[in-house]
Amino acid sequence: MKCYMMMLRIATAAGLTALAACGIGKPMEIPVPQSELGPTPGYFTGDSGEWVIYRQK
Amino acid sequence: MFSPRQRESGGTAIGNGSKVRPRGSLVCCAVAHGSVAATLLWAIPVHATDDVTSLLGQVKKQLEQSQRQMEQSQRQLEQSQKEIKALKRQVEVLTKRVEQTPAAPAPGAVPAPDAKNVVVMQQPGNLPGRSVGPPTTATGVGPPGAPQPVAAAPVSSGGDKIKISLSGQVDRSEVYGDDGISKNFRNVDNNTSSTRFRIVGEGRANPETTLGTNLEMEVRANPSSTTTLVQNAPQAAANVFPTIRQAEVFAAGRDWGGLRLGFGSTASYLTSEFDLSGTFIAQYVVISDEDGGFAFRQKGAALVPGGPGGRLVLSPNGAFGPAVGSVFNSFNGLVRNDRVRYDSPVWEGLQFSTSYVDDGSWDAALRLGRAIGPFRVIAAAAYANADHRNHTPVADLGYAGVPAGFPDGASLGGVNANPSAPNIADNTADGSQQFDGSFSVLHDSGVSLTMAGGIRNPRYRDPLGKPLSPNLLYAKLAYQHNFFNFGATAFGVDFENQDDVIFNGDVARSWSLGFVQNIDTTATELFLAAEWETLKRSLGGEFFPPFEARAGARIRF
Repeated sequence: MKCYMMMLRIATAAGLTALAACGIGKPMEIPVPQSELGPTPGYFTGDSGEWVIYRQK
Repeated sequence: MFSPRQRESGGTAIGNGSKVRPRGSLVCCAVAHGSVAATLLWAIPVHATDDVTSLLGQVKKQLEQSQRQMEQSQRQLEQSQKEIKALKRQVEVLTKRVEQTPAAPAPGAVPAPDAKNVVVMQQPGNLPGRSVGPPTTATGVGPPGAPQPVAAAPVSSGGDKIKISLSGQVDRSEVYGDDGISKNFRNVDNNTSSTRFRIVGEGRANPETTLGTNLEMEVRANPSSTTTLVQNAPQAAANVFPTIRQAEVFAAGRDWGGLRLGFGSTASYLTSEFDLSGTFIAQYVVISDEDGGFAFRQKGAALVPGGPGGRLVLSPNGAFGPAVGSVFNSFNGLVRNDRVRYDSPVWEGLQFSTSYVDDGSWDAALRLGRAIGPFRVIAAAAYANADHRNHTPVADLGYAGVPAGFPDGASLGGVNANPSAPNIADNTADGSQQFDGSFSVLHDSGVSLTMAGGIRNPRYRDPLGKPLSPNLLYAKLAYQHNFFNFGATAFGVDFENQDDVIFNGDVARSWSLGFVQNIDTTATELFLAAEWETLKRSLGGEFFPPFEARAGARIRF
């Protein structure tokens, strides 16, 4: 119960902090974590980081 | 002609002394001369007339030709004027269209709250066409500088109605390890970001909605998370682990966000991994990914509660104790599972996500990205409820080497069992509720601070029946700069402390130095790292601190 209350308090603080942060500065793109594949440049695929196998316009 | 002296004599000599001819001959001469003259006079005008006529004809022809050329030029001029008028009309039409289209804000600029017809410059919920990894959007972390806005996914796919694409990476490293008793080199797949590929299919149902599929697999030969230092050497060629990472279908809309169904990242996955340091591939919060299979070797003989009912038995010096992956856990939420997941559109850099897993577990997460003056800040927090899940108790107290006297183990003769595999305990969120989060701040100068933390409320106890309160604290200080024109350089130092992950009283700590050199033209990250880990346990004696140095490369293809 003690741990649960602590989590609840931390979650509430985190949520309020996030909302407050929305009023400071400017929105920024949330990057894909570095451990994941994302649209970052690739050696063979170029700037898009992906090789389009099939495309229909 | 004739002088006066010639007329008075009737045949006077001409002044020059010659005699004058008679009158008849004069007439004949005159007539002859006159004829010749007349002929000449007649011929010359005729010839002259012919020339003039011809000349006139030529002039006339030239005039006609010139006139035709003028007419042609006139026609061409008229045609050009028509074309110019048509182009002017086109320009007017396009100008009107541009005026009607909402202008995108300048990079880093935020439209006023009451602004209308504003182009959405943030991607709603990691929609396909940009990234289908969990859960966030668009491009990776760039060098220090102004944040770059990215258009929303349904527009950014370049006008494709349907697109199928392939992407992936290879990530390998050579590791040197010293567990205090044994030293060895291992060639491993860097589980920090394993070798993998994915195929993404996207189709635009309408200009605002995208439907698609995401299939991602990793192929890890000798994964660094489970490869031991000496226990499973020499390594069998069959030690390859193909794993499904994502197998899902999704739908996404600019206004309502995205929905995913299938096996894939849950909402809370990766919320402890937010990192702008640039050294992620060398050192990060998931210690178990880096050398999870290495064992803490027992330092000296010790009595451990290995007998029936927790009776103490003798464990010899050098026994293979808990694996690194047993006592370190990054509190990464519900990881990947069969789930339904929803991601909201991004509002002011804030995004909400939630998922419901097949076994009844669920989670919720918030993600944030803001630029505050010279600082770029990203943060995440998540709650995961996996009470429904079964927790697998750790086998053999977490010892890979069965202590002497343990049921079905070696005898009390001090024989140190030499197991062929690490003993990696179930230290996930199974059977517990968990809260975790991380944030990373990057200054324009290149200095960054990254922190992560988590607490867990398990419904189970440790193998000796004592309560557990697992927690995580991680911090990294790093610096990145473009020392070379071929890519950014980054280096950092980090520290991690974890308590009570599988045993009451366990304190596991890690220190590391990391270095990363990017080579942009080949999408390569070269990395070097050195890491020390310690484990203090309230029972069972002490353990040698394993040391690990690793060097490798990740190439995205």
